[in-house]
Amino acid sequence: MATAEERSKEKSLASDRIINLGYLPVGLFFVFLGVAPLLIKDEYLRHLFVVGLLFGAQAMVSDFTVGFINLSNFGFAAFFGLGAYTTGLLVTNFGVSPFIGVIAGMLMAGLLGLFTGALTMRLRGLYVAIMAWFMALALQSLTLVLVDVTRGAWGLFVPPLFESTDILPYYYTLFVITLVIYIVIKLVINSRVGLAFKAIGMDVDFARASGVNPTRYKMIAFILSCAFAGWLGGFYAHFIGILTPDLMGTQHTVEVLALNVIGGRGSLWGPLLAAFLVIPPFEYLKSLMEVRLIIYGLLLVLVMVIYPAGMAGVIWKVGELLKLHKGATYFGMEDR
Amino acid sequence: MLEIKGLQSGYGYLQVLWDVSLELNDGEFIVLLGSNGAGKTTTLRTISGVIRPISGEINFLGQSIGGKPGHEISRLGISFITEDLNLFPKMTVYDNLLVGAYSVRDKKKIKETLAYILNLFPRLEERLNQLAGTLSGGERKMLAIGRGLMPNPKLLLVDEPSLGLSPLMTRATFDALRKLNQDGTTILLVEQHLGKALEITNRGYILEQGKVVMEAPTATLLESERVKEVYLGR
Amino acid sequence: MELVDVWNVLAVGLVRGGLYAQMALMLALVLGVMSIISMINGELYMIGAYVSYFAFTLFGLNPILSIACAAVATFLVGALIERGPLSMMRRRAGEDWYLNTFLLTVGLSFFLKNAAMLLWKPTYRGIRWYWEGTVSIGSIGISIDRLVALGIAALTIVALQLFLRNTRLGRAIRAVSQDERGAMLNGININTIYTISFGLACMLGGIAGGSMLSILPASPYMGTTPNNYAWLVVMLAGLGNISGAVVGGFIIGIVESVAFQFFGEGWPNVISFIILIIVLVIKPSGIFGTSVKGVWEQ
Repeated sequence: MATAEERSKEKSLASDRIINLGYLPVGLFFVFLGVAPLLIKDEYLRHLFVVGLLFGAQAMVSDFTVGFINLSNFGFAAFFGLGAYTTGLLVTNFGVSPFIGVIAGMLMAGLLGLFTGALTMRLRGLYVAIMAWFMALALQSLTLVLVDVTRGAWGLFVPPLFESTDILPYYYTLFVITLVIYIVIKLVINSRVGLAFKAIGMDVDFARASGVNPTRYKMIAFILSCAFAGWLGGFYAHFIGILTPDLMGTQHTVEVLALNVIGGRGSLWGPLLAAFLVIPPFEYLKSLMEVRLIIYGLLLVLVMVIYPAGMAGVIWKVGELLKLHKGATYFGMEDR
Repeated sequence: MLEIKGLQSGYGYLQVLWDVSLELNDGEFIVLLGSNGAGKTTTLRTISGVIRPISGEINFLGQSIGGKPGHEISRLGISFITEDLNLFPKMTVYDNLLVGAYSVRDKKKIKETLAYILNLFPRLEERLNQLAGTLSGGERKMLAIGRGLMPNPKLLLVDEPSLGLSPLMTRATFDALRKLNQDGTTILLVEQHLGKALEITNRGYILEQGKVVMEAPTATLLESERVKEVYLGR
Repeated sequence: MELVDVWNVLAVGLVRGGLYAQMALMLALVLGVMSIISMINGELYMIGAYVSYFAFTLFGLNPILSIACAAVATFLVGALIERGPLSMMRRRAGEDWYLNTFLLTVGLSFFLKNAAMLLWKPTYRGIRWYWEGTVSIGSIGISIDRLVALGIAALTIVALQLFLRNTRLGRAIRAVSQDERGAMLNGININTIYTISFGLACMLGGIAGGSMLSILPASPYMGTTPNNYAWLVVMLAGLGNISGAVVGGFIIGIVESVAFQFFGEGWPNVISFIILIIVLVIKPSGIFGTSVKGVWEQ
């Protein structure tokens, strides 16, 4: 029986977890995402596509840290929200162009990531996660309290990105952002830095022994992921038009992390796919607030209890059964 | 007392024991020899229930214990002193010993055993209210053995007691084990420190690559060419 | 500021401090023994409050019995949660244990608080008092309920410490928190210890919820803030320190009360979080921090 200590070791078998389907299926998925809204004429369905992609992209960004440096960000929503409020405030107060505002939001989120990481990165992953969560709680309460600046719970109105009310331009802006984020993450993972990430994911001691400085690489991944979250948040601000402090709430973080886990950790495409399967029904249930959250909670519990590897794990397993992959085995424990 | 037949065991996909058969009689002091990775520790771990056997039989006092959880096996009367001792570093020596007596309900019995152990290891008595984490290597070893004795086990499994000890402490530890055996505890010992181990045990088994390759009384083992060559370096 | 005001702020702070200390203990217990990032602390507190409310108003039980009902009920709910989803998950997942426990307990917390919302609607269910009256010394006074709530908090904290130090079961719990394999080899059934520890931790929350019913009425989302504060206290004190968590609980309770007095609604959160961030900048492992395992010592 694995002891709690063994379970909580920040060590995992990343090589087994990086569930790589190859470029073809993922490429096809992106082509589908690029083409589908053009073929769909229904406004509401198009709206669902934007929301799905928005959550999918966030879950994918979260997966960058969860899947590759073994670090879950319990304060994800803070970075998203900071990006959103930064551009919102810049655009409304100083008349900055939204496109510059969004970039500023990204930078701010990256800076907060740098601050959080610098405080805690040398400590165990648990501290980073919890610290980020407190950052989110602090930012959320601050936005609530500074009514003069943020309008607090009244909501901050943010001008739209485009003149027309057509949803397609928004969708394609988001699509391009998502694609860029995906490509950047992939490039990082496949680079020399990525090798170091994989080593860290596998075993911090091993990485350290082979001359990799885990803290530095973890910082790079963490800051990048925070900045991406801010970027998406900035887009969201101009898409949705109104910002409230709930944006930085724990619930938002949990929704993102849940999609990440339901989709499957360490695959990037899994969380993206999960969003398109999970978000539409939940959008549909939006009017039934409690029931929706009850189902959400139950779904989360079920996934954790029944199949923590998530959807990507299932798909990968099926592929393995069909002999698409060479079987990967690993040893459970060390013998001394 | 303990009878193992055709035991296979290991960790996940890594099988370590391929065919181990052992027999321990009441009151015996047995040593398990073998090079690194031969499966000595794995054998003890399987008997004590830390890991589950893949196949084979383990019978203790006429009862099959293979695959039972560790705490049940411990309650049946098998104490396992592990190589890394698994002490509770932030509890006092006294509390460590009391945890050892977890499955004993009789307060008087606990007191008696405690007196016996403190008599066996007088050093522990001086350190009774000190945290286990602050003890020296030898004292830690004594505490582990003492804790293992608290439930009055019928069988004691001891993994590498001489590891990391000075020759003096090693001698003291072995003397204590011999005394325990004389007082009636059956002991299965795993040891690299051969010379001393062969002096005090009755019988030995040699493990190689997960299989028992030889079994003989220690006197015979000492004379055996194989042991001389491989383990005593003569 | 007059003496009476100072006293009032202090009294409110102490009572809230007792709440946070209990919640922090609850959290530290499951973190120390089972390495679980628990996010359902607040929901057990909520359940405790509801149970006491119904026991007191519907069944007309006396105050102490009502609180006892909350204790028993939350112990059972906790044991059930541990035996069910938690132990099922433990058998499955090895990697990312912390994230898994966080998400599982968050899922449970969503489920519990929204089920409460569906069942009991967002109305506040409070009572005016368990025991009517105030105790006054000169010009300053404190209601009996506050005094009793504070007393119960102190009693639970001390009782828990005594239990862990001096009983067979308590020693076993500490043993499991320090070395699971060692505990198992000494005949301790780790799964039983897990269930008992989790149940006990939940009971702490339940007692807090029940004993403060007349001060903080029962409502579905009442647990969110105490849960956040419990984590804040534990991080502030340092994950490895139990007496630190108790001290930290009272400090944060008083800080909250003072901040509310001077700055008003919403600011206590901001100020507490900023204090935490400043502390962590200076000492990342918390004021009294050591390591996570072996939470019960020092």
